[in-house]
Amino acid sequence: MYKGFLKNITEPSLEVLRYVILIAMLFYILTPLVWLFITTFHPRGGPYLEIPEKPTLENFLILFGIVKMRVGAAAHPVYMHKWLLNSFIIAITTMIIVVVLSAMAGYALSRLKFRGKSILMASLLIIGFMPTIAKLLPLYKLCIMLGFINNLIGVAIVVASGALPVQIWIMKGFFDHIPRDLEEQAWIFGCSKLSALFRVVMPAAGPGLMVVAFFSFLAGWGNFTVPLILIRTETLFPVSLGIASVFLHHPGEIGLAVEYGPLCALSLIYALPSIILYYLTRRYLMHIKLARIEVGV
Amino acid sequence: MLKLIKFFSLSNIYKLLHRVLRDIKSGLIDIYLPLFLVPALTLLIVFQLIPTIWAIWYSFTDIELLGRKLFEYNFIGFENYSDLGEDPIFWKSMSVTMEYCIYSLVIRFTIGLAAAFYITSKMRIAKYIVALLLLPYTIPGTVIPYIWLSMLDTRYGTLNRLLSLVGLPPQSWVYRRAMESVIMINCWAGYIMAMLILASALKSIPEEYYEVCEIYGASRLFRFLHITLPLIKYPLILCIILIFKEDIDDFTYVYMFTEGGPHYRTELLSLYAYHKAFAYYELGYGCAVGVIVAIIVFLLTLAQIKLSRIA
Amino acid sequence: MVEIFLEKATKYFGDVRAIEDITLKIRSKELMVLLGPSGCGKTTTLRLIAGLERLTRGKIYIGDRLVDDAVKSFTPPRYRKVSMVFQSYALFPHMNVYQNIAFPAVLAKWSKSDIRKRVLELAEMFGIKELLNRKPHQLSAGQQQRVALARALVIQPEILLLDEPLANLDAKLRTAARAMIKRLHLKFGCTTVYVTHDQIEAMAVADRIAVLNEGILQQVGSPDELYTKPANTFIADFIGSPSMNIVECTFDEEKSILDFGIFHIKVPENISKALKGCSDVIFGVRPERIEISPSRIPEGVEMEVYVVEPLGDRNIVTVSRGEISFKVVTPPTFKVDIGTTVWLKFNINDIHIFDKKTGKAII
Repeated sequence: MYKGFLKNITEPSLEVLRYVILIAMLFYILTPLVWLFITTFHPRGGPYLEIPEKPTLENFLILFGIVKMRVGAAAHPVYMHKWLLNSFIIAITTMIIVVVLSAMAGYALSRLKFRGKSILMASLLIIGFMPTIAKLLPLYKLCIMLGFINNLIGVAIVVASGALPVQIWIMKGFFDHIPRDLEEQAWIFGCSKLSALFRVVMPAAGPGLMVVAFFSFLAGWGNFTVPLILIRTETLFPVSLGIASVFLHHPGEIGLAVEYGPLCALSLIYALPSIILYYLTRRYLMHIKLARIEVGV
Repeated sequence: MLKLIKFFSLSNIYKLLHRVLRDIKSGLIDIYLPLFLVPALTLLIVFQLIPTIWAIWYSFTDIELLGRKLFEYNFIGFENYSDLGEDPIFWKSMSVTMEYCIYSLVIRFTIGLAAAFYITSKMRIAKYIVALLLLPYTIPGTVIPYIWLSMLDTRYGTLNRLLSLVGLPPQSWVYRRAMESVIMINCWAGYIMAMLILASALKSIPEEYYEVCEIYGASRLFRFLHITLPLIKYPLILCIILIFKEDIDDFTYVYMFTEGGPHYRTELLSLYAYHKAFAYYELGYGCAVGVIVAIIVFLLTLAQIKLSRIA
Repeated sequence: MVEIFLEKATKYFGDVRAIEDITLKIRSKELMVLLGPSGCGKTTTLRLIAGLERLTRGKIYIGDRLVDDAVKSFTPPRYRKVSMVFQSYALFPHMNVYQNIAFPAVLAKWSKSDIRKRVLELAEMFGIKELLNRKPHQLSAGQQQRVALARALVIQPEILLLDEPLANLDAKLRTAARAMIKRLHLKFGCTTVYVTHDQIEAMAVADRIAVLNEGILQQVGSPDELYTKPANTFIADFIGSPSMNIVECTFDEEKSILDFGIFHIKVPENISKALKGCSDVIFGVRPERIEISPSRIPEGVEMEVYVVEPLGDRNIVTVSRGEISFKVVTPPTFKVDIGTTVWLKFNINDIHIFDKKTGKAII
């Protein structure tokens, strides 16, 4: 009785609280995006949130060098289409490498039984604990040896190596949830082990592959540090570096001469592939299956 | 740690190889399975492990990025580390980093968990909330500081305008409240990995468990503490580890936004390592800072796992 | 069709014994049931035949081919020409029902029109024609089971292996599916090995049954043989419902009686000859074969009614005295109250006697 009574009182107010928190959260997350969207079509974009009287597409034209930029940054040659292409090459290559390698490794880790497997899984995470910044010079030297300087594929390989551990964990989780019965059934029907892998296991792990593709594409698409040390030629910049070279004059001083309009237009274009990819993978993102942590360190 | 060393010791590797070879011969193991591990491990070893070991080696030398010392550096033992102990900026940086990491972790994790609850709830709008909440993740990291810079502009920024609407005085976000700003930026898109992982974990909890609670009249708090929490424990720990690792490692936002200032108030350890190595050219010293960071992350991860075992 | 021959088949997982020294011949076109409690090694045996596990010792022949000799020669599952239905049905989640059923035929490189014809024919037969475009997770357990069976039969297999095919169905469906499998076996005539832990199911479908316990083969025989001539106490207890009454007693050679302490039974000469030399024995009698009467009968044993369970078509009466109790199956018309005294009589031709030490049947 007592509990039911309490419930009747708290239920509606809890419901209100739920929506208040939700609205506050959405406010925090969406305000910058609203600004971004509005300023893209604003002829005189600035930090202020103001709905333009005459929406314009001029900012996109400035971006691709068709119309000149007004302030100092115009001195920079803007190779926007090339930068977009470069980013795309890096992102797609990263995605392919990570998807293929993490699928293979995740499958092996899921099906193999050997002593120290959990330690290997833990080491995968621990290997990334060294801050990227401390590894930069060794990485740089290594990349000179391998000829990765000014090489987009090289950038992708390095980015992929950073994204691999977590994605292997995710892939292993998906494979752990695919019963062995499926493979065995395929063997019995005449599949060789490898063809069972490609005909049955991989398609059944499709959602996992999609999730990994989503994350690894974004890792390659937005990466800044790796191209920063590996790419020298301006025409080979990815967008992340290009933005910095156009809009960032000295570190810590962004905004001194920021052209907000073109910047927002660029951000919008830049975000587009990720949004498309999200749309394609949205059904699977909520069903990530993580490998259980069995760390015995 | 001891186990790790033992695992990678030569005799153990030999023993493992021997067993594997025996099993391959008898057809118990398929050869292609271990082979599947090779490409991923190669990539990780070449581009993660080797640079790490290399950096640890540098931290014991007086290597400098410019001039003669780049090539003719000497082994100087723990000198870099003992210098660190007497470096006031390092200690300042350490406390700044701790502050940043703890606040970031709490906020990112809380928002992530709350978001996970919303998007897995039975609300009819849940589907649309997912789409909205995922949007920040699609904005590339280098663009985010620019967007927030405009938000936080002292004179025209949206945030100060909103404050004035409620009757509060405008704040100098970028200078006086640099730390708060940086944390705010970091959390803006930083909750999404946590949200997705936790939402997946929540979805995998069978509905019946909650129905049992309903029957016995368990309170919401009880339900959360005794059903939900234990069942999402492992993804939860992994989330915390990943968030923590990312916070301590990534300095793009402070680099582009405050450059560590004012007065080292946002000088994160990773940024300090960068400054030492690439602005002051004291590469060995910078690497030593990096090693300290790695050790902190490692120890805290261990502690988290141990704590979760006890709980 | 072919026969399957296991010769001293032994399988260990690490140090854990799964099966030991099983020698079993499964005749051509026969439906052989592997029966036993869970963990007895019956599924392992099936997987060994399929080639999903390798033997530790022994040999397996399919037809005249040696497919596994535990040392060198091993034929992988895909060359064994067997078909299998898993307990989980193992329907491929990313394929619809049509693609699932067609899968083995696609692998065998049949032409598209042949596959189509065959799949439709089977779908018709199994009554799943309307489901061909659905995904497995949209099907009920019964439908999934039929899809799995159809898939296993697309290519006329020489050997069909069924691993607890009815375990995931509810009781009513199970009886129907049982009958279907028996009809299918007649129609397709493939050598079938059927694994189950349910003795009623086993008795219902089997041509012959092989009973396993803790990895050891206990007895092979027709359902009737297992029922009437159990080779040891395990089979006696396992086969039949309610199971056989099993009571320890001693055999007195001089008086030629079985001594139960509170009462004794006189045995004829032929039995006492067979029992010569054993004193500690186990006495067994089927509940259906005990005569029960509410009034005194000559040479009857006096017992008290402990509980009566009316099942509609029959009653199960449990009677006891001291530490000894018997279950008796009676016609539904037999009515007694709990606590009343009844008399039992054992027909000497229906009793079983086992050695107490080994558990093996003496008579």
